[in-house]
Amino acid sequence: MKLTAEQIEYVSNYVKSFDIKWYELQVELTDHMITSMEEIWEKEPELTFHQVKQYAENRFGRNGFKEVEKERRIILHKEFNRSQWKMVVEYLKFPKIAMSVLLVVFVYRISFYFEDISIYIKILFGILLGASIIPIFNWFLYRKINGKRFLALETLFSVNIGSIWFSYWGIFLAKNFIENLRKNHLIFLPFCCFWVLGVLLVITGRHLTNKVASNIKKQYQLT
Amino acid sequence: MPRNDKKMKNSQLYKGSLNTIIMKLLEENGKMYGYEITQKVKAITQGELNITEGALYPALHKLEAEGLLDVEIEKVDNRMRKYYKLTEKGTTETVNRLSELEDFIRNMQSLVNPKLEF
Repeated sequence: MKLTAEQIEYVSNYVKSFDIKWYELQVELTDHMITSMEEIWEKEPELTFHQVKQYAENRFGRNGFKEVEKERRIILHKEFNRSQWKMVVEYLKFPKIAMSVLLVVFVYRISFYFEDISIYIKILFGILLGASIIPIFNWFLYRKINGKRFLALETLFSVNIGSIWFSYWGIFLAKNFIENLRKNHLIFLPFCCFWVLGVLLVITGRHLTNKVASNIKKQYQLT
Repeated sequence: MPRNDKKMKNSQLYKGSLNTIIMKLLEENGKMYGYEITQKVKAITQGELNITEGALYPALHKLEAEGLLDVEIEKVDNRMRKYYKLTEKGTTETVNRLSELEDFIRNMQSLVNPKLEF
């Protein structure tokens, strides 16, 4: 027995009432519930709409829809992290490694123009902190596509925000090693590598976000 | 043994094969939606194997995140439906995983019942 448009609307709102904000999950869970309800009703037409809804919902287990959302968030976080580090590793392999090494050397060489290395470190990691605005900008840009929110993009934001931690750690470590840095300039080299790694995370994060967003637009036929 | 004890839905043995089962079904049917997959498995195994929704969606989402499945949205009966289909990478991976699964079954068969030929 097919559900009416009003009943479909009711089920859709019911799924949303569980604080399922994400369009990809709303579509999937609503369709699953409706298809399941129609099948149950076909077999047992004496049941009421609410009984059928309850039976269909029970199939999702104890924590139901929220558990599916939680699992998806974990899976996406893990997978995006893996994809991003895979991209970063590409910059540590031939031929892209040449670019990374050049950047490390360049950043290291510039340090000789500064009398106080701590100022240079603050500038460097300040730039990285500034570049971390990119994920925040991305988040605003892709927070909603055609008024729809996607868990994939929200999760990606929390992965990308990691570059802010790089800036924080860079400044924190510099504070602790400042005396050693002043005595031995070579110690600054690992800081340069650390900074370049942070830059790579910002670049790959931006690339990954654009890729995921364009894929979502294609899949869900959004502009 | 009571029939309930034989129910495969909770069997640890099947949990590791869920992704391969899904991929195999998608290889045969082109594109499928979540509910359809649960019903297809139930029908093929005559109700013996019952994939729960709580296990199905994490498996589908994992395969999608790994780039093995692609998603397609279609409007069906006043609602949107999310279909899953294998990507090129997914098709290749299905062949590998099925071959691994067949080897596993063959080896288990030899160990459990050496007299029978698989």
